[in-house]
Amino acid sequence: MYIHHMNSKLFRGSLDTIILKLLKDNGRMYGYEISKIVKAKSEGNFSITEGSLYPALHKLERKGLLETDIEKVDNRMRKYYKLSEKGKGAVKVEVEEMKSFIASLSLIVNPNN
Amino acid sequence: MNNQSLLSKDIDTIIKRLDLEQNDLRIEVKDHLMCLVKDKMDLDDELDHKQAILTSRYEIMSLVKEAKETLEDDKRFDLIKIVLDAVKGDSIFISLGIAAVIFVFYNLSGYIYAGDIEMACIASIAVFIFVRIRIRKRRRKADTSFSNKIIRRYSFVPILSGLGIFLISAVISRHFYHILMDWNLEFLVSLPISVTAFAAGVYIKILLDCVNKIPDLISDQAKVDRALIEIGCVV
Repeated sequence: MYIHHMNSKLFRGSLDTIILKLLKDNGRMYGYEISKIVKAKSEGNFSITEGSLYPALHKLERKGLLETDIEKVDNRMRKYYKLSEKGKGAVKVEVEEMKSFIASLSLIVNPNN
Repeated sequence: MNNQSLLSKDIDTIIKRLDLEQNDLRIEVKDHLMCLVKDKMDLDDELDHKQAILTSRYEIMSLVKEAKETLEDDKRFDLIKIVLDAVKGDSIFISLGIAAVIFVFYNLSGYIYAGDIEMACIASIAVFIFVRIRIRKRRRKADTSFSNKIIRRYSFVPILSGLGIFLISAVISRHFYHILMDWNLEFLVSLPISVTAFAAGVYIKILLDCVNKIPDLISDQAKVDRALIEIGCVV
């Protein structure tokens, strides 16, 4: 239970980077698809709640990092998110920063490795 | 009617009850709920769509809360923009023009005895009441959507922000005015007077903008909503 709580705290701080990376890898995605892929890729360890996914998406859209398209799918409209030109530049920086952070963290957590 | 249409109809009914007139947010909420309910039904064959909706209450609440917060942020920003616009672009020249008139008024009436703070407080209350009356008149034509409720709820924000800017500038400038007078530096007293005059200019420009821009925000939102309905862009 404690490990799960810590995970969610760490996860929330990395949400923007995760969204940007997923969109870089998959081209364009819709909200529910993002939450499903995160859950699947993390083997169920992480799950994004609606209350944190959409604020993150809207914040990235406001910053100009994401662009949106609305399309008709199964007789309903669907909003797709994709990286903007600015977002494509930002994702490289964000991912590098995260890798460097994880490497530095592992030096502290696993000093013998 | 097949299951898909029944589910879509039920979710439309839920969304209609949620006061979310913002089309892109409705699209997102509806799509998310449809996917969520379908996934639940795929996982459990015995679950019908009504039961699946019932077990998604937490997700519905979470989505609605988030969508409403997004709308609130947007509309609050529109109102704060009235304050920012008073010192941007061409508006700065209007603010400076008003400031020049107020500077002359200070010199004629005596800066310390001008009674400007009292006048500003009365003007704020008067403008707030006037804006609310104009909003009420427009509301007869406009709808009572959630966005418009937020604009009404926060219509005091730009007025209060403008008043705050003016009051803080006036109090600090007067403090410096007294210090300069005590140090016999009368030739510098134009400086605090100019600062207060400029703050007053910005404040009056904000008040003038509020009178038109806040009711216009309400009308524009209603026009967009009606246009979207007319062209069939409804969930």
